Amino acid sequence: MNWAIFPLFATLSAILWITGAILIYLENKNPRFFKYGNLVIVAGSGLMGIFLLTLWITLGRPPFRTLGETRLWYSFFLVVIGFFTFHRWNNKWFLAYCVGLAILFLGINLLHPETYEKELIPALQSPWFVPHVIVYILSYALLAASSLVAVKGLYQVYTDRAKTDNLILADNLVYKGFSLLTLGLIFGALWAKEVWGHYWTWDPKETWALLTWLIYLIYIHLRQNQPQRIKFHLWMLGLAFVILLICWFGINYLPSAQNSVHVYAQ
Amino acid sequence: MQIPNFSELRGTLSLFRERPWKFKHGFIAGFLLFLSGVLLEIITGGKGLKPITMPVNIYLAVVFVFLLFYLYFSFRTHWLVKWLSGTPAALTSIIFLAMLVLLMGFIPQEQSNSPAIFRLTGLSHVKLSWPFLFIEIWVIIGLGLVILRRSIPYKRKNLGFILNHLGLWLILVAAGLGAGDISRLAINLIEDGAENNIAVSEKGEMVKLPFSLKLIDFKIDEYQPRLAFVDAKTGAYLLEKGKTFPMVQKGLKTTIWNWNITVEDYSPQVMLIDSVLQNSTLPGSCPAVKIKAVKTGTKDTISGWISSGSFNQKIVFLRLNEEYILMLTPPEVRKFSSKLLVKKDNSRGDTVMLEVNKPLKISGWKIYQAGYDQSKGKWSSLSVLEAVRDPWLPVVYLGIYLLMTGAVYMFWIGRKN
Repeated sequence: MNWAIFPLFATLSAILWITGAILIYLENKNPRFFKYGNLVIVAGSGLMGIFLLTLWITLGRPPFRTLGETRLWYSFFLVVIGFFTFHRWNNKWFLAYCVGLAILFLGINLLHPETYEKELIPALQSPWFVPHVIVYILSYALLAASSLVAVKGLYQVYTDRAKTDNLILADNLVYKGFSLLTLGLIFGALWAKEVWGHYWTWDPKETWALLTWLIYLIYIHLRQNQPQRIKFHLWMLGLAFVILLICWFGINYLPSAQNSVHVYAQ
Repeated sequence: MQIPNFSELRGTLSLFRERPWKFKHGFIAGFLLFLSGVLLEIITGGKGLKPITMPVNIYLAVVFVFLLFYLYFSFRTHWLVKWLSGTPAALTSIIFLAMLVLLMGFIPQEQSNSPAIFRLTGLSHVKLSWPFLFIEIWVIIGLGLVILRRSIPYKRKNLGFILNHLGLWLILVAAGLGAGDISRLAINLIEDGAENNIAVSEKGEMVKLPFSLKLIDFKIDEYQPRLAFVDAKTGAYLLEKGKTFPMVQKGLKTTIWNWNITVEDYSPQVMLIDSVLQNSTLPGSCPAVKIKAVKTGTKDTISGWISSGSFNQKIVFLRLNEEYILMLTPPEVRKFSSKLLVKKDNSRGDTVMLEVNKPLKISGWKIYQAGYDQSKGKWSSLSVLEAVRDPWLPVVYLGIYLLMTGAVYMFWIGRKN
């Protein structure tokens, strides 16, 4: 099992996810659609999970080394998060958004595979590798979800239908995403101590990761201070995600970061 | 000439007489701190700060903690203490900290050729600059006060808050004060060389270690090399979209750019002797494969041995036609390790293995496998180790563990209300 069969798995998962989302939206027509929709979404994620697992086994290393590989995890976790959030808060639009975003990432992988096999250099052969990356990808997926909520909230603000429940949902996603961001940063620091002798060296990726962390820290304190300034906070959440994206992808283009282990194989 | 507008000045002054201080006061305070830091940098010629060392940093830590307690217990209700430990000050101090980190993210740090404007203002060495010090002190005072406010008296619902804030405070204080006490020393060992207890600091000073090391064996494991297509004119790698160059193994069959390629034989170590590749264990030996390449749909067949070359070996490649050259990439390193004899005092010594990601602990030092002679690669007889000592690490780690527990707690509970 390898990348050659990825288009098949990606298409099947996408079809299952879309079908599931549509079925859930149509639950008014037939209550049984709700149950079927859930099953179909779980099946889509299961299929993607199987692909990830077998990719891991055939590569003989965790598939986190290339941008293409991280995008796969991202799609996988986005739907998982969308699914659980939908059940917790009962917002179908959110599930649909997550499915849409996940399919977008699968689509990018189909167009630009960037899957060149890459051997693991000795520095990356560590028990910290898997938890560090998994926690970060989960966190990014949660924070991406929070910025989706922000986009929806802003749309409502500008069409005079402001609702505070958007921000409550966004806050919860940010709290969960931020705590994982903290864990990712800490795992990275503990790993760095084992491999390079120091827990913090101001490597460009570290600097940007700290900045991302600080921006969400600002958001959290902002929400404590003036909970009523909805519009401002929604914009802030959008900005925070831009910083996160620079940290994730932008680093690849920073000239000062070219020797960093965090520059993904292209 | 313009007449100074005194009413505006009075307005600014009266802003500071407002009580309680709010958000905007935080911005002004932060800006003034930043500005005075930059001015100090300019006055001192942009030399920045030198990290303090023991025992001065311990005294400072004790005085700082004492002052925090004193401030809190004697002036708890004072407007300034209240403001410093409140959300508006927390928010503005984090914003200024984030701004400094943002500058670090864009301005290359610690470069000898940074522009004068950055050197003079401290922005080319942010982490050791006055503005950074001032903002950080602001952050740790605020954090310290709010931790006291929320801990006394202790309430169960503040547990997550205390874990996160105290963890961060410990990390910032211990990492900041302890930076000057970190020693990072390089130890160069040659295979079968003498026992060595001398290390070299970053400044080039010799330091005697309380133990000695002898390199018994240095070993590099490599991955298999890959087959690569190269443009015969430009020398650039030619990769088919979405594909990878395959790792070689005996019997491998693959198709690249309409050439069917078979790996007929694989030798992990060969050397070019009298223009012939021969199996060898001499330094510089490299992997080689016997290739049969057939252009699809034709009977054009080219076969022969190719090798990846090394520091003393030429690369042997196959020219398929005017377009393509088939070659073997240099193998990548899978693992490198040193077998060491460690002696403390007058003991007979222990034999240990040292590799990347698995440092050793010897007499209060952590020893790392750092590098080797890259030009020789697999045949390097030099192993570079690093010895690191950081006496403040336990405090930083305590902070890290508290913050980690706090993060798990936060994930579990989420946002209240």
